[in-house]
Amino acid sequence: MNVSNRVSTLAFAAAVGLCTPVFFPACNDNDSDSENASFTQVDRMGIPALNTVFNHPKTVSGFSKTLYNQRGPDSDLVNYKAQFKTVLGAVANADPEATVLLLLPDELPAKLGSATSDFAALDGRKLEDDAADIALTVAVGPTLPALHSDHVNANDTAFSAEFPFLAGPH
Amino acid sequence: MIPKKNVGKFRSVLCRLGLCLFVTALPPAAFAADHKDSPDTDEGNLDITDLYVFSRADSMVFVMNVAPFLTPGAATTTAFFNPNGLYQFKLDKERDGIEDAVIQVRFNGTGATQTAEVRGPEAPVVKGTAKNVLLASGPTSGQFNTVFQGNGLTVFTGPRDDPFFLHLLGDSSLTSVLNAAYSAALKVPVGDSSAQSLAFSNPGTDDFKGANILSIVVEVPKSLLAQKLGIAADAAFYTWATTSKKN
Repeated sequence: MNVSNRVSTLAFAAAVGLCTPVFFPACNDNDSDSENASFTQVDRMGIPALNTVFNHPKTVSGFSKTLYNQRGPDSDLVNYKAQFKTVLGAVANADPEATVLLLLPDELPAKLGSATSDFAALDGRKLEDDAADIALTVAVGPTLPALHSDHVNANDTAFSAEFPFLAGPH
Repeated sequence: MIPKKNVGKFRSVLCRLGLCLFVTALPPAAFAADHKDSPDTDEGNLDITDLYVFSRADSMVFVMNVAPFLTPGAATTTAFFNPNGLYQFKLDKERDGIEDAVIQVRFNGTGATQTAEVRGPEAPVVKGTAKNVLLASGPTSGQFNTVFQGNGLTVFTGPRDDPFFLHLLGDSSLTSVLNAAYSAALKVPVGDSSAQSLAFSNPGTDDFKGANILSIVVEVPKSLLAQKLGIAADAAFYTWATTSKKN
């Protein structure tokens, strides 16, 4: 047996043979230690595509998707109101102040009393809703109608009327 | 679906959009190209792609999708949720950005035998982005990739078709529109010089056609939500989805 074979045999033994709670408790990735664990946020999402659109530039200082993802919506107006207004102004939004107050804090509104949710009415978001077109229409001003739709209007696969509603995987 | 030879370019464009891929079929070197740029996308199964909240008769349905562009045909032995992650729907009754109730989902083990635990909706023990902990209430548990019920909830966790549709990439797409708009507004070049156009092609290309994600679907009685949030039976509430990692 040469050295590399020996190393891989040892690694295999460690991974399979010895990775038991008795010998290596840390190998056990099951739940007991998580019951008392704490967790730190790495990503968040409320209204579709806000981070993608409003923090688009990757190499310009002041724009960071990572920082946005680590923050909570409680500080969104403080952190992002001015930035969002600048971006909205660049696409001829008619009232950037009012639009920002629709979008921030970044939470998806929904009414318990609605029989059918509709993202276009800022009342939930169902699978069929054309989130991109709705968001573009809200963000982009009336003088740039060409930017109100990406001309992809439905999913490629039909949704189900029954739980869990999303189509099976490809 | 995207031709294989374009996958590398495709992934790199998406990474620039903050949407690094969770593509298990790619060689590790290719996967690592942009991989460390964003701490939030180190692990695709903590990368949220979409949130849906919709009414269905006497219930509300909450959907959180993660793991963008999961490889089609990937077996559940290689595509599963992060056992060190905590997936939460955070619910707010007055839109102040502070959660009043949470639905928590976490996973035990890896691979096809992974199990899910769902807790809530209940008031969180710790609010905000740091040091979130599990609710004390007993969880509803079930197998990955199955439908299960308990505590009034109906739950599914597992691979699904990505329900999102968008012309995201290339010329006359959202990327090229954003590049052009930002380049003009900031007066510095933003994005790929070959994708700069203030127009969408018609028809557009659905860059999410044939793509999979991992989905968490939780159906909750409206009466339970109203009770736990302390709001009227027909009132509005506000939701955001988060993923967190064990400290």
